[in-house]
Amino acid sequence: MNIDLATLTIERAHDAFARGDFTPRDLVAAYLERIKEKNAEWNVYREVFEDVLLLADAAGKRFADGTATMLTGIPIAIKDNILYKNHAAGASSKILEGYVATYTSSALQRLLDAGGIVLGRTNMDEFAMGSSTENSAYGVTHNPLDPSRVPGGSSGGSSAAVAGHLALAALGTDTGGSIRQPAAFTGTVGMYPTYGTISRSGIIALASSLDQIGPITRTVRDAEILIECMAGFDPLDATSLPESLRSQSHAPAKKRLGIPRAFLDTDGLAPTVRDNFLKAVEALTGAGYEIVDVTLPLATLSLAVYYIIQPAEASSNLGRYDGLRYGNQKLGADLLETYERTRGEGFGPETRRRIMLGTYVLSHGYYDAYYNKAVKMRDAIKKEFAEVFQTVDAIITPTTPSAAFKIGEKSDPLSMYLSDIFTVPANIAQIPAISVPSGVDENGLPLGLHIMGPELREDIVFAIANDFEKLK
Amino acid sequence: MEIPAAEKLARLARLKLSAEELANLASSIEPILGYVGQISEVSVEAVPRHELVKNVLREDVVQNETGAYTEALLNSAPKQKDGFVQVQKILNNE
Repeated sequence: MNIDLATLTIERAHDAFARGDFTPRDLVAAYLERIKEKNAEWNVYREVFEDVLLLADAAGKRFADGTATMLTGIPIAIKDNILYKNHAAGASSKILEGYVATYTSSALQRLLDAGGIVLGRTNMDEFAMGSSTENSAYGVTHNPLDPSRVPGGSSGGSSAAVAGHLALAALGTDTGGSIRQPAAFTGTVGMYPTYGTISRSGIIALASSLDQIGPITRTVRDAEILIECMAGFDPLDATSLPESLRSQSHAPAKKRLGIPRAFLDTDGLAPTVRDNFLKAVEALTGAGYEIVDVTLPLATLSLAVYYIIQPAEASSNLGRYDGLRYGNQKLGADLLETYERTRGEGFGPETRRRIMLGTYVLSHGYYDAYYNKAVKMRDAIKKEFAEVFQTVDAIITPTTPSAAFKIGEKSDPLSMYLSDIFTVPANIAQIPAISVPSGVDENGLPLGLHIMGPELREDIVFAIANDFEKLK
Repeated sequence: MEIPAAEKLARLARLKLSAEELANLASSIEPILGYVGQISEVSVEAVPRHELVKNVLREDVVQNETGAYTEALLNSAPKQKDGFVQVQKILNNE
């Protein structure tokens, strides 16, 4: 069975199943073959699950009995921090070695109910802390488009799976850009919907006020299909959006886009990225969009705000890894030493750094200057975005300041953090944002266009992304 | 960041670190604190918090059948005994 994985989309696969061109089992087998061929070289999957062919057969039956949906039989990869009952999950950390999920994340359950097939779990930066997957305790993932480069992160295994045709689509999580930045680095589409759209229940938490599951796909339409399936109120997530808010109707968009020029003066913005962005702006103008300058003075400080709030929440969330209830225990002379050894040896260097940072900004004497101030700034940044969205439908920037960098190139933590400079503001403001492929740089490496919309206006973000995708 | 300050933080965070790691962390955290410290240079007025989503707590009622997850959760623990997670003793009763 010869299936062209390079041109497949969810709708095409669905139509092919429906016509009987090939079955879900044929498609899963094609991905398994491709994984066998490439996974050792790229280190994309930490594990391919054993039950995939059983699920493929079950999906095939749904086409026979007429209960198939758009996602029935669609093979997806999931990031190693998304729980799937009776399957291992580890956030690519040694501290969770041996952990098997005791329940399934609510968002994933919706995909499984629709007949989606989980091929396996993908490599990531430990606890989603990083922008390259180099912080995984299980080795770096290589970018399938240039294996000497990173696939982005923290959802780098998921972006590499889609870019390398080792899955038709993938799930990642995004706390500060961890879906959109890897999507830009691999020529794929990545989306972070309005915070609260997709349940957080069953993801291994990094920073709860920022975290969300989202899709990495080959097309904008595929991202839309996955979000439609996963979105919805979940009583197991205390910050889940009620359906009444999500189903509100809105005034139509005016095709007016804002560019925050100050963002383009960011230190370290590669000239080729700037040129590529200006070309994208030109193409959008040609397609009938009006472009205006907007100013977001406080939002330019989003990354500073983020590196206070995120480590603060992470240091609290990661308090649960005490070596008693799950994962890997390193026994000490007494309980305190067991905690300290388990955590000291189980967490990798970047995770330890963020726990220390978070502990620092929350500690007595620094709390007001750092954490309280950051929370105040966050409120002001949200307001600033809301005001700008009174005048424009959406705000566009490049997704990343550079194309995919070389493995080992960014050795100091701060320069790594800066690769999320354009994606972080959406998490801080909790607004929807997408990265869409925007051609390639002089080395043939993909770049992304980043589109941010007002809260609850995924429709606007998708409409612009769809238009831009067609301009290619 | 001075080493004693880093040591104190590591203790608060329950991390046992070697002297070398402590020194590395202390020196790598310094520029990060410098970067995030930018926010002290701007003054923002407190704006009323706009939150689309608020924490919503559900009724404190048991949702699962008693015992449905007991075995799976116990099996997650590194050590278990007689249906309990086994931990080290914390009270000295000599």
